[in-house]
Amino acid sequence: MTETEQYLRSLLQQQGITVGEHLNDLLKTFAAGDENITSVKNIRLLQHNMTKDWKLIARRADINALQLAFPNGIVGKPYQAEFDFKAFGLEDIISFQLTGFENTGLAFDKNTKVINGTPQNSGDISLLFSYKIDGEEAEAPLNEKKVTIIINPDPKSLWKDLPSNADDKYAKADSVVETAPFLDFTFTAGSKRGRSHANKGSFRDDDYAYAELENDWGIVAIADGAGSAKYARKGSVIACNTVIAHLQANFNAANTSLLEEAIEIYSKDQSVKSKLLDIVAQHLSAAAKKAFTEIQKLAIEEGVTTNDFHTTLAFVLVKKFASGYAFLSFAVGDCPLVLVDRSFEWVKPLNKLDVGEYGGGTRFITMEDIFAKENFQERFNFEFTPELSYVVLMTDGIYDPKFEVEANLSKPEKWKAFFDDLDGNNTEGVSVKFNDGYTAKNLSDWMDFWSPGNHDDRTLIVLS
Amino acid sequence: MRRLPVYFLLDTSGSMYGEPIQALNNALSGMINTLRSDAQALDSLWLSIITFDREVKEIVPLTELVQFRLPEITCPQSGPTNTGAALDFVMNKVRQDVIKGSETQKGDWKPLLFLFTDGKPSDVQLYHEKTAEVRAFDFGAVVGCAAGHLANDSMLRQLTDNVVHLDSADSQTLKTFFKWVSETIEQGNKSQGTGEVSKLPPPPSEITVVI
Repeated sequence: MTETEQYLRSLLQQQGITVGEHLNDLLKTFAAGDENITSVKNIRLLQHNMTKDWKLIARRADINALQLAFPNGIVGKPYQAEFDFKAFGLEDIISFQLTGFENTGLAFDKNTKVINGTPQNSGDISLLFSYKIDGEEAEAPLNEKKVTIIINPDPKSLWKDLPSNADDKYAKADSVVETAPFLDFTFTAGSKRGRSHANKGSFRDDDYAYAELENDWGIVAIADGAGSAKYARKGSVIACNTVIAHLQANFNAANTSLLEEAIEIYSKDQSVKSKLLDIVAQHLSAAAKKAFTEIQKLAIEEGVTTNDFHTTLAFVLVKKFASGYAFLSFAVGDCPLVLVDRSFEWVKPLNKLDVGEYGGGTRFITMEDIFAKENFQERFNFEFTPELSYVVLMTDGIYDPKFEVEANLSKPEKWKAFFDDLDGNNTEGVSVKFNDGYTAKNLSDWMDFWSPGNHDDRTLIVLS
Repeated sequence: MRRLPVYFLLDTSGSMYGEPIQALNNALSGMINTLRSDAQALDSLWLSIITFDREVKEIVPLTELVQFRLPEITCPQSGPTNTGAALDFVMNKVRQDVIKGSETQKGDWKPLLFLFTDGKPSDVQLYHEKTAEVRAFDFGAVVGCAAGHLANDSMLRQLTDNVVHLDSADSQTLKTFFKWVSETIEQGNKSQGTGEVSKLPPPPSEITVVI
């Protein structure tokens, strides 16, 4: 059967026309006619061209709809991305151009199909991808598709440093650094407003206070006001100052003789710890409760709620005895209080942090129910160390970036790394050598360390 | 690093076809640009976009803002609004994606959920079940946004106490709404007492808060 006859037969069939046996010869003759042979050839050619055109149109539409996504870049950070035809399913492209890199800091190498460079500006880089698909005529114009590379600003460049309002009724310094002799120790503290606050010109919510008490006792308190509470900056001040004032008035020789006797016994016989803890709790719970009532008093005067003053509170009392150092502590919230051996043989966290399943969740001294909770007794602690250790207090602005999780606070190697970091083993090369002369500026500079996502207020206190 | 995971559930049912979906695309793109210029967001924000009509589609899985690219959101010309199925989908995602803190692992910030709809759920039974599940979950905030006169505020109130109503889904209104959404996101990473409900920033006057 000739090609023309085959075509004619299927054409007639499509039309629903049956060719009877008796007409077979007639059809063969019909198909052998020159005119019909030429017509079928032409029809075939037209069909072929139409099919090809459609395939190209459909392919172009597919490519148009294709998400040609290159990774986003960051201003000033080296950028590299491969235009991987295989990964995008563009293997049928026979010639192409990618243009629009002028003044972007990026360039395209057509041979390696790699975009390379350092983006100069943030925003969208609009590129033009011109291409030809396999099957298109050599002289046909190139197809065009817009492609975008998103360039993010460098987060570091976005942080503003706006001063807080010095005339505010609860104004306080954005940054404090100090050092002073304290009992047998050197007291060093730095408290700096976090970038998240500096960026908006809001206040530092962290605070701390310290004092020497009667009978060679000393106290250091630290507090972290809640970012979500409007007067947290004041809450943290009141919390620290109240416990100190309360203990200055009440933690005197007459009241503490029983405690000191118990500590002397404990230094020889540690089985009395739970008794001793009861005595510690008696002394410290009144101070903690006083912090709550003082804040509550101010909240009532101001016509707001204690929640508006939400703050954590942790404090530690220390005294040197004949055979070592005694530490009494109380904590609510997420400020670690830790004793660290000077040669990093051991560390003793004094408190368990109040942290929730999610970031930022904690407990505050301004939540009255903490005093009634069954775990209230666990907020107190007592430790006794024969040698002089480091005593470290910090807020989560330091703890989060430097220790990350609570388990690390018990690891001596993490503390060794932390003190190495303070000694200058850091990317900024800033050194704070305790007991070896350092300037307030060193500590202040050290506290500016960069850590992505960690821009909370930072307070660090070290008794060295 | 602590991430702030934010989920967007967007209604792409038939009624959004045409101008509203265009307006939604523009508003989302504006919001992403605003967030990109926020230092804090750039450091911690992770976004996911899920659309729902007859089908639920994860348009963008949870992606850090730095690498986020907003695709064009499209919608069919007609079809039901399977809000319940969308909630079911997002809850599974949230449980998979969001990292809880422990002694040895840093937890994410509480996730935020924004639901945008211009109609009412077609799968009412499933919707009732899932709203209870969302409420029981510890989200930092759940915001329901009803746009246009066909949106059902009281249905959204089942899902969350934070329901806002937009009179129309036009470009300007949506832009204002998503500006407010970005403000809400920007305050999503602050410490707060466990068990306390976070306060949202006051919405602009174009947006009616449904109480």
